[in-house]
Amino acid sequence: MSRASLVESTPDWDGFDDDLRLFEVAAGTSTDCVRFTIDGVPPERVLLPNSAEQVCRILQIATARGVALVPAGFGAHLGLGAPPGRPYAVLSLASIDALLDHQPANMTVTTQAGMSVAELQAAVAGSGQWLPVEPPLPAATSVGGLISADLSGPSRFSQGTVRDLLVGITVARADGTLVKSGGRVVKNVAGYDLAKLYCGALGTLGVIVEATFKLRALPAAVAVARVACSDMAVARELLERIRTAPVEPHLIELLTPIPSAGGDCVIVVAFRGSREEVAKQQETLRALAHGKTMEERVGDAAAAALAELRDANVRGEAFLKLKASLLPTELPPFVSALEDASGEHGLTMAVQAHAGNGIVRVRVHHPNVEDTGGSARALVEQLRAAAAALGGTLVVEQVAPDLKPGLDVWGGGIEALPLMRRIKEALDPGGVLSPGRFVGGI
Amino acid sequence: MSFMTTSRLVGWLQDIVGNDGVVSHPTELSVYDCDGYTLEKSAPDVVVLPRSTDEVAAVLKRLQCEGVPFVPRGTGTGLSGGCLPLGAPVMVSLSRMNRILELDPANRRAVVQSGVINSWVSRAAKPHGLHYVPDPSSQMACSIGGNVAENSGGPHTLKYGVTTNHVLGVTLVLPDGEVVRLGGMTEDGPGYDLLGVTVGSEGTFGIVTEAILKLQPLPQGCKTLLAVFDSVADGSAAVSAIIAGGIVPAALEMLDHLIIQAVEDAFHFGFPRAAGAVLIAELDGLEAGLERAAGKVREVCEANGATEIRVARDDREREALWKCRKRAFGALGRLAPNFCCQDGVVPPNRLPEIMERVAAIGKAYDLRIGNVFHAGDGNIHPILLYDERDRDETERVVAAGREILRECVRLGGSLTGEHGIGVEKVALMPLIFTPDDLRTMEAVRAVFDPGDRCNPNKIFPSAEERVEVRTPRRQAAM
Repeated sequence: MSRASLVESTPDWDGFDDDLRLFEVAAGTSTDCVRFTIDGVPPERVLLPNSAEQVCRILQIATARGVALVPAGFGAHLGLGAPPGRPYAVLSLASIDALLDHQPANMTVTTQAGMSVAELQAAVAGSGQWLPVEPPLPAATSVGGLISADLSGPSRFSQGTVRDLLVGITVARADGTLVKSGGRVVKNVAGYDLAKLYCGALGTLGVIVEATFKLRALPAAVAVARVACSDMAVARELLERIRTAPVEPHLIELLTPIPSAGGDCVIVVAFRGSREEVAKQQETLRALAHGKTMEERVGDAAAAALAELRDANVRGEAFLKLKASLLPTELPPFVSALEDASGEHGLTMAVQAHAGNGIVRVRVHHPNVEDTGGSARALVEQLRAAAAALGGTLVVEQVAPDLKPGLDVWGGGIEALPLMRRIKEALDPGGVLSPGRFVGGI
Repeated sequence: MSFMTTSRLVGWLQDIVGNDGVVSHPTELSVYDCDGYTLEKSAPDVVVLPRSTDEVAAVLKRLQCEGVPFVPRGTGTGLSGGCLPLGAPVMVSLSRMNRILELDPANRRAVVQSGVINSWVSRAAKPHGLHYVPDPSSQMACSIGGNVAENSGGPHTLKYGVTTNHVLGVTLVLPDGEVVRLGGMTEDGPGYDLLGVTVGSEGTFGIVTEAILKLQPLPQGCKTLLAVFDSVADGSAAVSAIIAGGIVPAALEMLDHLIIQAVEDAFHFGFPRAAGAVLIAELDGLEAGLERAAGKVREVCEANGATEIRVARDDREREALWKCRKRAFGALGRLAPNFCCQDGVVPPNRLPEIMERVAAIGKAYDLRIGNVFHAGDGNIHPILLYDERDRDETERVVAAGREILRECVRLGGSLTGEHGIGVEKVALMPLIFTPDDLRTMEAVRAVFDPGDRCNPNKIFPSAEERVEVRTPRRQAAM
């Protein structure tokens, strides 16, 4: 069946319900419908399967009944992406949450997709290990969501992103077949690395049911330093000195309000490692930051500071949240473009950048809540053009539900879009999974 | 292809790349009849050597019009027959696309053509205090394009990851001649991670002509230890204990008795000839933590029966040691005319078991097997020595290799850690993947190469091979 004809066909919700009863799939409550509401549109149904087999059944039934499914974990990050293009049911993996195989000696862990990242971390911490990604809200983020939304945190600077740590995956395809790629060993090139395809695909290609990750040893010591810089030029110079200094930071973040009142631009550097390594690097950083105000935290206070940094963007209030991807050296000009836009539109912003990776998150505040629609669109277009002029891209990560339909969340000009559409058609020919949520209306 | 077709094709290709860019004389073609996997040989009818992405695109457009299958080739150092032309009359060699296009030290990126040799990148980046981390043993000869195709590893990938973790983008010429850029200079571009699935696709999606590579700062310090053991079993136990102890060395490499002797004969490094195994453990990073980590590695090795531990005194000694390790394959020429290097993976704590099984399999098949391998990530390289003129021995090599890989899978591992499936391990794929798994991969392949013309007959077993794991095609061919 072609995509177009399916979209036009009316979903048979009654038949869908009847079929599901046969397989005893647990249904969510009305509270769940609220929790899994995407951009103001609640799901028609919330399904809570308890096994991979049930997930496969649901997919087969959804395909047969023309029902759209949005795979989810706990619903914490559903604001990412465009709203579903048609009425949908949420398929939550929250009840499929077992730790399947932790091999401390081999530094790997295999879990079901519904386990939370916080639980996963707690389970492996007993062996002195961790999964070195720090997604926002780890207790509310499932392993499947971590992968699907590619929620790599600030530690990506030193540890890589989710894709770098994911060594194997099991996915239920839209047609209900269970398939895997990769394996449970850290080095493996047998077959295509399809795990990469599901990273950041927002559940449009399959339902992740199991994943295997590489682990690392938990470092013995941690320290966080906040260095205040009088302006971006000073911050830029400090970043440059850190880049060429004998330090291996765990993360480097740049925080600044816009417009800046001066002196409120902050560079946060964290170190993790053995006690000697961390102490030595703190010393080096102090020398680099000589003459600037520097606040340092170690131990539990440092861990708390890192958690705050990790969650700040998701927790922070804003009417619009944007993410730009740039070359690290293009951060200062992009911040200038933000300042210009802030002046023109009478907006204030909070910027948090993974400075070493060129990833910038912008939270936009608006003094006048009434007039947000037009300025949101104009602002996104303006900043997207600014990012593009610097060789980068910009996506909308969150916005008030009533504004979203008017916004192009992902941006156009994606060169490989025709190939991406064909990938979608190859793996989900009926357009069952998260329709309309991804780039180019995929 | 018929002679007429070939000569017509040669003319068309010459029009695109010039007369000096097409090889069609049988003597010259024999150079291209295999890579580092020498159990199977097959020369192409034509080799074309484009100089630019545009020329590659023009060549592929022409081949598309004629419906001719082709195979991309870097420098032919692969170890699984990945660029063996099987049902692909035309070979596209990237060896003339060998320029480093851009070095951006501030953003730690390099843009290179795919025929650039791996070690050139680090050499160019060194003055900026940077290097390109993935370092296959063949790094003096292998190309970046080949590394991308195979998702190559190397000794230092234990700590830093393999090729896929260090490539930000590629320019891919699709089999119909269309040019598409995947990934890019910046991270996190919107859309599916097509780059991630292209890396390691063994040249079946099209031809990668350029790559954007991540560069890493050179580590501040480095400590290289050489631990001597009576047996591979003792050395393997030490490896497991190091990994389990939470230490991540930059590299953890083991050489067994047979390899030690061959390497010592060839390079006179000063290895203890009588040793059952030596373990090279390299720690790098900040000076501040190195001494302590090295001390821990030393303790673990001693606790696991190391009879002697040496530390490289300076860079020269360290480099000499690595030269021996990386040229170990070359030294084997002294032991036998041919060798076949396997590439299985096991969870590191199963190393003692798999090494015992490898030795037993060697005995059972009456073969000499040496071992030189990336112990830290459980990636073994049993090297089966043989003489291709001895047909019976050659058969035994194929059978023994297959049995070793079966054992790796039984212990929870994989068929290949860094060499790829190629032609060599095609028939073994059903050991680790179901028909549905394979069909899904093929569906993705068809997105890039709907006509199945780009490097055909690789990775995926034929219909009959899927029913049961059969003898590799080699036996049928012989």
